[in-house]
Amino acid sequence: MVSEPSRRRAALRIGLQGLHLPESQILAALRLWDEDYAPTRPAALAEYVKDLALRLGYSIEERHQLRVALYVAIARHDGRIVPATSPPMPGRAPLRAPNGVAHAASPVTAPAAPATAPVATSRGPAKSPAFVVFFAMAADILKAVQRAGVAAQDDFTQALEQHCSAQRLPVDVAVALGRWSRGGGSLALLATHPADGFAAALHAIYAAAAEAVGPAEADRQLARAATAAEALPEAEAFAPHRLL
Amino acid sequence: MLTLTPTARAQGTLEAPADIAWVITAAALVFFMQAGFALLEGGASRAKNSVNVIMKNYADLCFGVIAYWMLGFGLMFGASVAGWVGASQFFPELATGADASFFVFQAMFAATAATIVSGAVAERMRYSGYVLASIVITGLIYPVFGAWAWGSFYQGEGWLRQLGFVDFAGSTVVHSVGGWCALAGIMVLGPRLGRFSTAGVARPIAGHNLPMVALGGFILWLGWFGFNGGSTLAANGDVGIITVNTHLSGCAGFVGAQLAQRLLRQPMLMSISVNGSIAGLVSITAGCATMSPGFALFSGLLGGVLSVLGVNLLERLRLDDVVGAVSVHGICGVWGTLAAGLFYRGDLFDPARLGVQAVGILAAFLWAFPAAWLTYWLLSRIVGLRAPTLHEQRGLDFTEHDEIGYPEFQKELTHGGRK
Repeated sequence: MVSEPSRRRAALRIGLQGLHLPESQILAALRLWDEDYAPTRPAALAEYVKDLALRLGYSIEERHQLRVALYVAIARHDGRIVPATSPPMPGRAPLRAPNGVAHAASPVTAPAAPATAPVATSRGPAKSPAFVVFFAMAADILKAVQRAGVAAQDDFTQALEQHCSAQRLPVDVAVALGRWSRGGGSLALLATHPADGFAAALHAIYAAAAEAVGPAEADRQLARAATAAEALPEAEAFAPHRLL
Repeated sequence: MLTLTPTARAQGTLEAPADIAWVITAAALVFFMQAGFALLEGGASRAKNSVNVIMKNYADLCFGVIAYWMLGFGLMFGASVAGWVGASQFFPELATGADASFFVFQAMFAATAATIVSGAVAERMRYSGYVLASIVITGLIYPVFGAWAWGSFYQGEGWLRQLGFVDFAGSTVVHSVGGWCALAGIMVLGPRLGRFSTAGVARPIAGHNLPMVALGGFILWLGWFGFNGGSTLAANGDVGIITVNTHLSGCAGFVGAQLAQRLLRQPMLMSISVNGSIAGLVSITAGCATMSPGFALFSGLLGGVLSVLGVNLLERLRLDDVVGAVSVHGICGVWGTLAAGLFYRGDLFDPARLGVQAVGILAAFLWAFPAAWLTYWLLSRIVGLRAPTLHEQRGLDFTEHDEIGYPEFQKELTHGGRK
């Protein structure tokens, strides 16, 4: 699924140049890509953005701009984006639930990225554009909840359960969302679901976020997630607005 | 058309053309208060609900006045049955200038009482249920209490008026009744999604346009000169002191709200301060014709303080009142009515008068709150009042009206036309 490494690297350079960074920072950013991401996890764009933003000392808003710029560049010059999937990363701590208890990693979730980069799926059937868009938006909202702290994450998980029930989502979907919200589960189950169901699932996530971090913040995050998802190539086949 | 036998109007009111002209002008000012409410409540709501809020204000005026003409006016001002309710003047012909101008003025009051609710229940009440409740308020709840306090324009006299209850322009009759209806509404509806954290902490949900809130406050204040000044039903010299008292109290309400915020170490918010001025205006409405300016100022000042404390109290009780209507209209209406008794010119601090005022205040609550609660409860069971959470996400502008207040800036809410 991943494009040729050199093409992706070139796309990243274009994206970085579009941000008018000094050449030294662009080179440092590409070095980070070459050393830590390109060889083992070329699809882990969300993590790369996070890592890079941390090194550049970016604010949340700047990090958002960086992510959009890189996604747009890749969409235009590389042609495809794969939702964040990560092969096993040696030395990573096990995922932790909000209460601090480590989850026993399932075969699917074992190679998962840290909680800040929720996993869609590492293997499995081809993902529909609707799923890719849904997953990108859901992950953005979850990240905002995680930034608000452990208590907010706890509230989110509990509220998500209630809203999944209120939205009458299928039990297996609700269970998958619950695990995913705790940072320990995959959403692979949803990859081949019909597009119609994703709006209700995203609404459950929005409603849970509203309960966890407040409706004003949830509104902001939903709008940002929709804007960011517009940069995905899959957005041409499935517009993010269809999930709102 | 059903027209019951007209009853004789009390002698001496609205007979001079100047009186009629003044009352019609005052009615226009009170009509303009609807614009003030629409701007204040619309601005205090999120952008995605602004059309819905303004639609409700508009509906109060249109459905409400029709209901008032058909039923409410007769219940309130028809020939009184033992001081409890009017029984004539339904579908009134209003053949004379005096009758017509009196009706127009009173109809604007009825619409004001109903529209107080819309700000409190904003952002989560469905439009159809709201309109039906508004019809019940203007057609039944407001007029019945109005008959007790004011029902003497034609034959007979309301029982509260017979006791000596003083509420010149409606601190209780209009504002408290509206405030108690709003309280019932927010209790039946519940808070907006995520308004309170699981620990019970109130989360601020900023309005989308605070300049609109301020403009709404100014317009309401302007309208209040007609609201209080027109209640003389005569173009006479009393209008002068009434206007002075009204203005002083509004100013003092603003100051009182700012003092309260400062003393409570809260940020000094413009929205809360504007609410303070409205609270001051509510607080003088009952006693604007019978109070000296110094007491009017004190009434407004304390009203402003109470409006801030009331909002805090409601938040502690996890009651979600978007614009603070219960505090400003309900609680400050109570204070204004008490103040009218306490500071009655020539009869200051008379316990007997205060007792009558308290009876009126209690009667208003015991009638309006349960009646409105039952209305909302029945509507929630029969037609559905609460908007689903998906509608809260999308905004009631789109889900209820298929229109968006700010389409250029809300592209994420357009859904490609899908419901």
